[in-house]
Amino acid sequence: MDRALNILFRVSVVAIFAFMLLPMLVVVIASLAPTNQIELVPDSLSLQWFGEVFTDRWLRPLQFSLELAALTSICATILGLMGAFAVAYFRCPANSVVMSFLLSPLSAPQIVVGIALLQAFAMVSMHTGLGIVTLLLGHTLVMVPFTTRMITNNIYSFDRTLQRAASVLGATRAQTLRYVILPLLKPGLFAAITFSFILSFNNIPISLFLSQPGATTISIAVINYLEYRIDPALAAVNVVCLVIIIVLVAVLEKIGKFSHTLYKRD
Amino acid sequence: MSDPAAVSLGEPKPAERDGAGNRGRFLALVPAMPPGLLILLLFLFPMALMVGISLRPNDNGMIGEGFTLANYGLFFSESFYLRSFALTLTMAATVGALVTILALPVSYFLARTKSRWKTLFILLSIAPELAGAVLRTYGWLVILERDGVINQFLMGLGIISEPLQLLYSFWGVVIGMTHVLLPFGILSLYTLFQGIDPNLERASAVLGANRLRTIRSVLLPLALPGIISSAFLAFTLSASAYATPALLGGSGFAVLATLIYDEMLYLLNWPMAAALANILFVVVVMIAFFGARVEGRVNAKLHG
Repeated sequence: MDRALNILFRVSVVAIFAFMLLPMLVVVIASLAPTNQIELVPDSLSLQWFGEVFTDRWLRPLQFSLELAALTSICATILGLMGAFAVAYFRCPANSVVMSFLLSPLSAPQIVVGIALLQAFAMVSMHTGLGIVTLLLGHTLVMVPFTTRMITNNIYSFDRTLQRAASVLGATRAQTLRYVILPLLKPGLFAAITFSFILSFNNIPISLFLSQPGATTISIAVINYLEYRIDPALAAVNVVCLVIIIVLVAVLEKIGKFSHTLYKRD
Repeated sequence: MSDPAAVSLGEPKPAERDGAGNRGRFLALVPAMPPGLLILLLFLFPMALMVGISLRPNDNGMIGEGFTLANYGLFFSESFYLRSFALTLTMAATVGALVTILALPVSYFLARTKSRWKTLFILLSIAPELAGAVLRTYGWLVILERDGVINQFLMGLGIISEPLQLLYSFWGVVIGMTHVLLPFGILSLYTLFQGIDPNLERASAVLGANRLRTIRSVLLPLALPGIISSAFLAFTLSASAYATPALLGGSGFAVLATLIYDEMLYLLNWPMAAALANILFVVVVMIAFFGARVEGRVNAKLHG
């Protein structure tokens, strides 16, 4: 009985992992297809579709998405740091009110925030011609709750008496900030930067409404293209995006060492 | 108070707390102002504006004069809208249940395994998250299409002679949505199982319970509040997803999110789009609230 249950458990874990990885594997295989037709077991492999990625059609939205994600992650992390400091150092019952306010955009589905933003921008005539600005504002808005929460958890996790210890030992405020607080904050800041970058790069609901000709993110460009055809060039585009994200996460993890904050209980 | 360090490091004296202390506290709020202002101007103001727009009539692609409840009236009387509302809830409930069921064994495995590949397994379960919804939905398009991977496979084996219509169907969307939300489910249940002491399961086994009995009488009751909150989270996230239903469901698959997009950008009916967005918002908040109540009820039963 226990044995059967154990086997069932193992089989289901393997099957679910396979289910999770299957579409990604299929995309990688499709990107290497030698012809327009995507085969389960291709006879030969080819890199021709990756040539398509390096044309203006895909390169321009890709560059735009990277710029947008970089700016968003910087803005959202700075604002999140401000919010987190206010919450963590405002020691009275009201700090939970401040925190709820800073997390409030999470209460609405992003697609609802996206249409509300488009209508509001249109009302104040910020709708067209501003390109990246409206997208940056929209993305930053939906990332601020995430960064605030990550950095707040980080501040709560470190020993606050270290700061007092530094001042008792004669450190100036600047020295305490440089040698005590910043190193302690590093994992939280890097986690916030990495996550807001990925979430902005992959964002659909906000970009859907705020993208416009000349200021379109790669996700929206792919969706628009998918509405009338499926071809392996898209697989190649997606594979390039995935590689960029994986390299970026690896580099940021190398510098910031934030991954342990992910699967630790808070 | 005999320790001198405790005196100098302790809480400020009452006099300090009343005077400079209070001002210090409010000064500490100053850094919250830039993010607060952002939320005020880009969240609360647009949401309020949208409620206003939803009460305007549609005037041939322009926002008309005067106030009316007609947009909401249309939603609750037109069968087209009611059907898409029902479809949204059915899809979200199915996806919420599937995500939770599939996340349970994997997250339990991740929390309990002592394998030296544990970090790799955790990375593999977060990896789909890095890939984003567009890549994964595209992968499912390739798999589910008429001459896609599944149909090629089944026809190659001779199990079917005609390709199955998998794409542009309810179950196609459900599979894609489940895949998109599974990492969320796994991560939230993983922290839940990590918080349950494995010694309790051992104790149960020592006392003679078999695995099934341990799961039913020890593990499940402890995990239930977390399972409920994860299921409701998956429900609300899938109720408001756009890309996967739009791409895997095709033009005939109308859920609230795709309707909002069409009303806004194709039909240019901004008041109706605003009304639909408000309805979606209210539904999601109500479901989340209901979920929190159920979770609280179960929690009280567990600890009461």
